[in-house]
Amino acid sequence: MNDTFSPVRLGQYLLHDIRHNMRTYGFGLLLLGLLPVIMLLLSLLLSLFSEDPVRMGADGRTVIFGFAIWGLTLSYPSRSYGHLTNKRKGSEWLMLPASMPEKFTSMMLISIVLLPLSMILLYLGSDALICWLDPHGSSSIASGIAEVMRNNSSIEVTNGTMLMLIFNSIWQSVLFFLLGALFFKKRKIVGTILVLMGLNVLIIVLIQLFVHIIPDISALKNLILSASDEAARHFVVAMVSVSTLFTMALATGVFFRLKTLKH
Amino acid sequence: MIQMQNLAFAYGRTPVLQGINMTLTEGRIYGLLGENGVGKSTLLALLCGLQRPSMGSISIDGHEPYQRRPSFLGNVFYLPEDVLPVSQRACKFVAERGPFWPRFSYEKFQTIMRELDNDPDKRMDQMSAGQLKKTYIAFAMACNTKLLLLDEPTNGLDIPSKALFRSALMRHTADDALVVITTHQVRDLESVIDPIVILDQREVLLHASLDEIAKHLYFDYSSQPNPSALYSEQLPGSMVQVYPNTTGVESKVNVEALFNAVHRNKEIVKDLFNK
Repeated sequence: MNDTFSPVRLGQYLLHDIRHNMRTYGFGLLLLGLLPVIMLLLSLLLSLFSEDPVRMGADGRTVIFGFAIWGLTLSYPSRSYGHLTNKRKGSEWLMLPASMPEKFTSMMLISIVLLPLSMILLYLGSDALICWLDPHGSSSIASGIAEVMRNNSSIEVTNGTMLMLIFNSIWQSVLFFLLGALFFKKRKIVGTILVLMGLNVLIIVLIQLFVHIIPDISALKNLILSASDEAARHFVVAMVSVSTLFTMALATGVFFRLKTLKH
Repeated sequence: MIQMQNLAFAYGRTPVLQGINMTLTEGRIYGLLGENGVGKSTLLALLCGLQRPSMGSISIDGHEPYQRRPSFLGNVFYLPEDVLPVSQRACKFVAERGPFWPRFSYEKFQTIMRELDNDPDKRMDQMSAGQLKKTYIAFAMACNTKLLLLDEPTNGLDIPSKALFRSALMRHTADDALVVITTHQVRDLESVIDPIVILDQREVLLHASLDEIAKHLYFDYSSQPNPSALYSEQLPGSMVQVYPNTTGVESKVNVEALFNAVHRNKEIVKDLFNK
């Protein structure tokens, strides 16, 4: 028996994990994915009390899309995996005969691929459907994204790097709240937000210190502004790499937290 | 086979177990007894890998439990005292999880559920505490593991169910399986547990088979008080007294009286069994 990683066992465990996620977060996912429909129904309801029809513009809908993704990354980890710190539920999970790398891989596949992708596709799909049904309304978020990507002529921030930065920020948020869900026994979301705020304060203080250390800040500013396109491109690539490394560090943190869970 | 060498465990700075050396062998149903808080459940958690020893080692057929390797987990079932009332039908819950254990048998689960007079189609969150416990007991036995760790399995069971549990345990565990049962309800399991392990504050007070116990201690059920008794208790219509067996005549072991006798005469009993 392969004790570290068996693709067959991973498949079996992944199916079990998906079923568990559907039970715990299926409704939440549906609610977030169908938010455009809910918003439309709300606007129709408000229109009943107003002389002019209430209609949300493309910008407003894009902002709500951003909030929906943020809501997913914030609520999903504690809802689906928060039970692992509970003695009874966590013990049952730990005693299920699958290796930790398999359990971790399944958790990552669901948390950073399947779930965000399902939610985004459902959201963009329902948004597109509403826009198609309402020819007088603004264009859909999906067509807006496609247009931005089509018209992107930037050498520094290519579509690839842009997508990597966006997805990295989603993954980091999911993984950070997942870590919070695995560390805090109670008030998992509030606890994680407080830690996040603390870290932000720390980073701001460190940046302030760094800025004060540099003798001639204006020279640095000029250097950045006068950088060539090639240098700027390298800078963006470096930023993406650092962001990806941070995502990987968070995932490693999740793995070691799972490995050292005790009940 | 389970081997514990110099095993120690502490919750933070509070020591729970210290210097435990014990070997448990296959084909037996061990009764792990002890007062509240002596570390019986902790020992089970260490044996199944839910906790990591602070010192010393545990080896189960060459596996270190805390590594939680699938080949080890597939041979262990741990039934905690408090079981989860999942919002699923029992048959679906078991059909989903069971296949992770290589020797799991769904038919066996159905058979044991029938024997325990339990409905597999009922939702687990709508079951009574006893029905829920019986569902988990049936699941545990249907996994056909080599090591079965049961923490207070009879808690919550009604009187007929306790008898059904005993018979299911004898009938459905493999001959080479090693079962460890912790219990305060010794009368419920007196007829099935052998050997007996009595844990005291952090150490093992007694680890002996019923035969060994009967060789060293005499259980007198007559109504004549014996001044040399280590322990005596008035029962309805008779007495039970425990004293060192000096004649070599063997008697039926009363586990509850044994537990009390051992606890009141720790050093004497240790000396008796170490001779």
